[in-house]
Amino acid sequence: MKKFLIIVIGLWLVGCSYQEGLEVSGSTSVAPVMEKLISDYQSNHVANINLTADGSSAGISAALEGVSDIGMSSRALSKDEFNNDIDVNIIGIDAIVVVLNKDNKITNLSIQDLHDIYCGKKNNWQDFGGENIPIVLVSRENGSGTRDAFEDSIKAKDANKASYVDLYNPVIVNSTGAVIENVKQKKGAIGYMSMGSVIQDIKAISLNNYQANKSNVIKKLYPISREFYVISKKNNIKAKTFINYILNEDGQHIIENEGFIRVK
Amino acid sequence: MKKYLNKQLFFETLYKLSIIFASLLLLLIIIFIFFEGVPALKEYGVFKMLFNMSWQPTAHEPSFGLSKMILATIISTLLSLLIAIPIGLLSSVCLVRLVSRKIKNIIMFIVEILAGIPSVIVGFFVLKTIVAFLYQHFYMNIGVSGNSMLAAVFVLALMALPTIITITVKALEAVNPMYTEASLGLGANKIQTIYKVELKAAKSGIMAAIVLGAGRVIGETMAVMLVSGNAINISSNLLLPTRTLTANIATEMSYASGLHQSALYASGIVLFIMIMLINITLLIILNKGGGDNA
Repeated sequence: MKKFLIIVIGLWLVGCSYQEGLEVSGSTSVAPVMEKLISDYQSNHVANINLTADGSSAGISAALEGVSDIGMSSRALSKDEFNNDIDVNIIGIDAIVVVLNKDNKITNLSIQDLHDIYCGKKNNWQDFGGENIPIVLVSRENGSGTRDAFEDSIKAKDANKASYVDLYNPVIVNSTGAVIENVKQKKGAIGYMSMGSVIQDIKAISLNNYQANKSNVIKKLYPISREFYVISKKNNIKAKTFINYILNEDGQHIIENEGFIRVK
Repeated sequence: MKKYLNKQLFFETLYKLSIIFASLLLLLIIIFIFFEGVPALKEYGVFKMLFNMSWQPTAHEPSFGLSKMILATIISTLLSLLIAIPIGLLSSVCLVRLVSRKIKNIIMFIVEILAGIPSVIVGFFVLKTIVAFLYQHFYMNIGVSGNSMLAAVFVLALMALPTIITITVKALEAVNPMYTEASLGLGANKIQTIYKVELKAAKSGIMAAIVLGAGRVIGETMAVMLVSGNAINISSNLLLPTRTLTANIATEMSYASGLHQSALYASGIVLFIMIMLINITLLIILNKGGGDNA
């Protein structure tokens, strides 16, 4: 019993000594890959890292105010947000891929086509040289980083940044898995997701005649892509060590494994 | 003697503590959702939130109008009860009066299992059957994806049915047999007795069954979210998608922050008030019917 108590107290003390942890917060799109990076980092280093997914803007302001050690963002910083005290690093690149049902004969759409589809201007695959089947829109929910980036790229928002996709009877789902399921089941469906999430049962199409592959995305030929950023204070050494790990071979390997494009 | 009293006191305190704990939990939940939801209600305005049609939580100038979702909740509840009440009543009558005791027990066992099936499984079942059927047959209509108000109504009717049947059966069984015997003795046949005497005697119990069924339906989340399509939309065409208050919270909660998150809690407050109204109705019905047989 005594031995047991000593062990418990010992473990508790060990736990206490690492309370000084690293706070990482921000983009919900970066968070899943960050989670993988953290768990890999923790398997080799003793570190207490807390991850919060609360959106790019929240992550950037938390990093600027010093509330978080590292802020994650899936959009570039605006001029107002940037200052000389902070480091901004790109850790990976994501492309958003448009997916169709396997039976759909269409293999390419332009950004203008996507705009027309998601803004209710065209609603039959016939308009794009396909079969006479009405289009079923599959969309992510409000607040999703993927939806935000996709709708920005195809200009599906008004001046107030409000999206009107809801007006055209979409199926709104809150996970990539549910997008896949809907596109798989419905022959008229169109959906979008991170390039890392595409699976065999659905068809990823090219946009503006460019496939979503590494070289097209890096050359910016593929039209819908976004960089993943991490933001930290220049004098924060703890944060710097972790960011260096992400930018080195081990971290970049994980980013590639998760289906994103490495930067180094 | 003293020891006995001590024991008595101990258990009395235990019971009291349990009841305090249970009510405290409810109080904590209420405080929590109001604490989280009030900022949005204050910032955006209660009236605007209840009656504005536009829900644009991530826009620069966000709007948090819940009216379409409140309407969707009310309409889907009413329509599903329209299906569940006749089926529930007829099957309860049949179970209590028209079949043998053995068959009744078997069917009640099945109904109770149905009541215990997790809603997400019911939702998945409807997604794979009714939603798929609707898409296959109506896909040539623009905007039809199978995920629709109609599918949501089916799910909800399926969820309300076991509640309605079990409570109605209990109410019918509690009818004083003297009424039945008197009716039969006066020359009324079985069906006349059921409709003119027994259903009337069990009225308050049946009302309670319906209100409890409505309560179950309003709070249903996972199953509805799977099949309703979740577009913020209210239309006379039942084949188009719709979003209820519960689905609104569940769909957007994971990535919401700031005022958007608070507005989702505010949808919870609206829902909470709707369920309170239902429970108050239930209390009134039960008090009124207290003198009867049910």
